[in-house]
Amino acid sequence: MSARARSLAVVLALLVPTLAASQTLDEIVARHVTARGGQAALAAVRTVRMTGHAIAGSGRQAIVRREIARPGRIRTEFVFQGTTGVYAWDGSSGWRVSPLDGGFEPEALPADEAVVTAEQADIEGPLVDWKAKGHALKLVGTDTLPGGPAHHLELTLQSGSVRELWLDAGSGLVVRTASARKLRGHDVALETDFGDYRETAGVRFARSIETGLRGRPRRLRIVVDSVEANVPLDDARFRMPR
Amino acid sequence: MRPTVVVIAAFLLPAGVRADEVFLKGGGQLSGRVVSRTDQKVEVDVGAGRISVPASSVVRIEEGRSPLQEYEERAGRTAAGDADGWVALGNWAESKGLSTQAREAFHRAVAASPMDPRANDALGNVLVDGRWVSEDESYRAKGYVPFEGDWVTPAEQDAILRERAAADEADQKRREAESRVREAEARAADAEARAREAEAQQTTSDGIPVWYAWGGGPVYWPTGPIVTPPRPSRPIAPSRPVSPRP
Repeated sequence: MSARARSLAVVLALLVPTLAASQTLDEIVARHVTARGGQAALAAVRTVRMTGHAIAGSGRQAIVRREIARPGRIRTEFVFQGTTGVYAWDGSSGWRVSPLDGGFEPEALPADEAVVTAEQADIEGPLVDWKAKGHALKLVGTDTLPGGPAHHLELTLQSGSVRELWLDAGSGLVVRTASARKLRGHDVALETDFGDYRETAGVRFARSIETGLRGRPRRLRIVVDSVEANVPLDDARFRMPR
Repeated sequence: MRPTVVVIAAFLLPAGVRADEVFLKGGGQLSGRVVSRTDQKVEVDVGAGRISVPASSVVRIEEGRSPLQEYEERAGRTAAGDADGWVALGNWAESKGLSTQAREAFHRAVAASPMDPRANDALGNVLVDGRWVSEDESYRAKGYVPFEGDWVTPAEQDAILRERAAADEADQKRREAESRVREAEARAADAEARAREAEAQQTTSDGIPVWYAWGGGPVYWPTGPIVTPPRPSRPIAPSRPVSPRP
């Protein structure tokens, strides 16, 4: 074999696994989109309202309502012990009225909360059209979770935030995400498990969301009682009142 | 109608008539019992404490029977030994976001029937070896230790404390390079800030901020009574003062 042929062989040997991984990644994402209901059904959802309850330790329970509208707007209401707080992102800036935090007037969301809130405003999830959205995605491998094998992906959002995702190898649905956060001054790994997917308007939404810090026992559970698609949502609901 | 006019109109309501839904701008709301009203502030008993709202923040007040009042009436009609009745009332209170009242009802159910799984489960109790124990006891049994409002493994606690000690040591070395006067001032300010931070964590911090999971929510949920006015549980500005510069 000539030197040129050997070089070509080496280059091909390096490229083939990459191409295979890329193809596998595309297949995994395509399967996920199909599992959610398909591109057309997802695109047909223009707004969504989810109502449920959040359960934390010591028997604390709150009513939660979340409204998301294209393009990239979200409003969450949190009802706890006679107080209703509002937390919203209008597509370019975030605001809140948060009586539990001592805030009775609309005020800008702190930067770290605004980033997380904005990331939740993607109505179909970040994997759908991830390239067009400017995200980067790579396949890390396959892990075994309590529910079975899952594809482990690493997603770098356009904002720069990094999120790990695990897609159930059987269903193609997201069953876990993980991301790094700062809590009370030190770094923690936040894990969220998703389950009880049910269909609304031809799209499957997780009805069970359970969040905790890796290595710690406490969990915050959100049980989604109802999902309504394409409800009319006035733009003003997302804008900070002046 | 302008908000101030509405608020003043509410103040003119005859004594004994309660205006129980206090609406804030942007959809914020307080539901409970208005216990005092001046042209400066409105004080609302939300069932877990009283919250004072600047009158200027109030859009309007609507009188009516609040869920809190309904809870109290229903609780008054429920017999002490009626575990089913207390569980039903607890579930109803939860559906209205009245967590404190729900806990109270579930505690009454457990008092009537200590092994009731519905009430114990709602209180966050855990069945360990055939005995219902509190969530905290269950964590302790698993080897976790309480640390700043959360439960962590002893190893994680050690790591955090070591990390802080190292930071303090670095801080100390930096400060030694500064004048003694400035060092003393900075230490005093730092100690005060830490005390404030620790106090805030003791009173309001517990668990995971809701906005981590779902895109919005208060920074922390209070587990104890709501203080008046609720203090910011997590300052937006850095909580530790920057050392004075020359």
